[in-house]
Amino acid sequence: MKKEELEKLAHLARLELTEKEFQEFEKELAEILKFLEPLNTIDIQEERFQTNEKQENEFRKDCIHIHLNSKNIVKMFPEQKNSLAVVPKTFYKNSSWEQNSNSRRV
Amino acid sequence: MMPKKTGKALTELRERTLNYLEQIARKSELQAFNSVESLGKLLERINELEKKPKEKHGKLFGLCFSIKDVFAVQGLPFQCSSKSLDGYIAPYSAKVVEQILKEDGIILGKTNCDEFACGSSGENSAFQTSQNPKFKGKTCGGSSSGTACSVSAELCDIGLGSDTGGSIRLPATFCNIQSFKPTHDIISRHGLSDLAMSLDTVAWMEKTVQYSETLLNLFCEQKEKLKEKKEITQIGIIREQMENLDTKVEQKIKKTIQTLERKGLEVIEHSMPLQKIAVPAYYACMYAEFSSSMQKFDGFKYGKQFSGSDIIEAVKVNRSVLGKEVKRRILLGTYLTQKEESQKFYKKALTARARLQKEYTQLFQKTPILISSVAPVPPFGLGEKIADPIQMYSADLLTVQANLIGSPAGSISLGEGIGLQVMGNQFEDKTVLGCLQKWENWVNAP
Repeated sequence: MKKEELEKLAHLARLELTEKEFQEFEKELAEILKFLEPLNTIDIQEERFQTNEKQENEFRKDCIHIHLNSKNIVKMFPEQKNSLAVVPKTFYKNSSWEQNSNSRRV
Repeated sequence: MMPKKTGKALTELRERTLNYLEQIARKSELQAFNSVESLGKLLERINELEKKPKEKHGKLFGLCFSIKDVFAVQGLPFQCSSKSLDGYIAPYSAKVVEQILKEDGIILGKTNCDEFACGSSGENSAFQTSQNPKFKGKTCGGSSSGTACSVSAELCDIGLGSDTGGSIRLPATFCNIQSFKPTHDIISRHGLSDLAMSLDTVAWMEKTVQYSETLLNLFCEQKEKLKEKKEITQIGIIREQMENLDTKVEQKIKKTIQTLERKGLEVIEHSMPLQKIAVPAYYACMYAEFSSSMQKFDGFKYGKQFSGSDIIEAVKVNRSVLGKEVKRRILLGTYLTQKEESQKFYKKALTARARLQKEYTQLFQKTPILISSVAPVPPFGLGEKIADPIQMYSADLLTVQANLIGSPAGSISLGEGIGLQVMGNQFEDKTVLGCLQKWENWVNAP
């Protein structure tokens, strides 16, 4: 596997790899894909795997139960503000990821 | 001493539970547990159970459980043996854990495993490597390494784990204990951190096949689909599964087959050339599902939050602490599910899976039970295969089939880290369990 291809995969998977990891994965991933090669003897057909004999939705009973305590959940976050959890920024006013990158949202 | 099913004296309950706790501390070098319940909480639980009148005792009264670190147990760390979840405390319990507690079971702690259950030796845990209590210097097998270790070393009565491609049956075999993986989807996976949802099954281990039937009846949410126990007169073996076995394993399995024949069972040999694509099909499906399921670990919701000014940075920083095998599987899953590659591997793997299911269904019509070795090799040394992922994956050569077709399978220890696998068609769980119970004594008789 070429390094550029691995870089693309790492970006898609949101993984930051070290130079050593790149070198190791280049070799290992190629070997593993070779290990999967016997799958190429299979013709894709319309047969579909069925996990269960009859595919049915199994709904939980609609009953009252104690839900998670939101105060306890918020306490588990390293940063809190006014009983809310502070997390890294998710949405931006414009499409640039770079702008206002130092601020955090509650 | 194994507990009696019912009628334990109350003082015995206290003594047994605290004895387990003491043994866990004394045998800490085995590195079976990632976290252990506090003495205070355990005493509270014991007091609560001791107050119960005997007629109100639950089905699991006083039985002590070790729980693989991929299940949520409210108030205990839920880390999946990963640094990325270091310090995360479960705010709720998995459905099966709730059922254990409701039936008066006792949870002793969370056991070590391969990180996010990715591995066949237990060596991929970010925290520690569980030591095989029966064979010094050998791996416990994976991914439920600590769970097998805890049962084998008598640190609990029952070990609860998950089986995605053999993660219960392999470590149980390597640690000389018994295991059972039910039909896929009949037990709730709520609160189980998923490796690959179409393959993951809640499963368990014990020293002798004593409580498996109770656990199956308790956990099963589709009881009406379970078929009645059948008396078995014929069993099948697949020729291709007897090839490439280690000599010691082959001899032991052949001897076991002879024992079963002497007991009056007819052994029928089948051929299934498709066996050669089972492991590649399993890994292709698992990589694809795993890379998808890992997207939720984005540095927002679980565990320590690492620095990161926005979502992109937070995800990357959080994922940088993942272990090598986890990264490898995420990368491969991402590769296989790209539009331009999916026809080449993933869709073929799905077709292979459907064909395997069809061929196995035909075999089960001829012989309702199939047997094989659990692993092609006996327990291997710590560090022996960790650098070679393909060698490691080969340990799953005979176990992935049951997950690919969603059928029940169990293992009986034959000693020396070798095990007999017993497999039946979907929903034939009671028949498989019946065989495990009956054959356990037969195959180990002197």
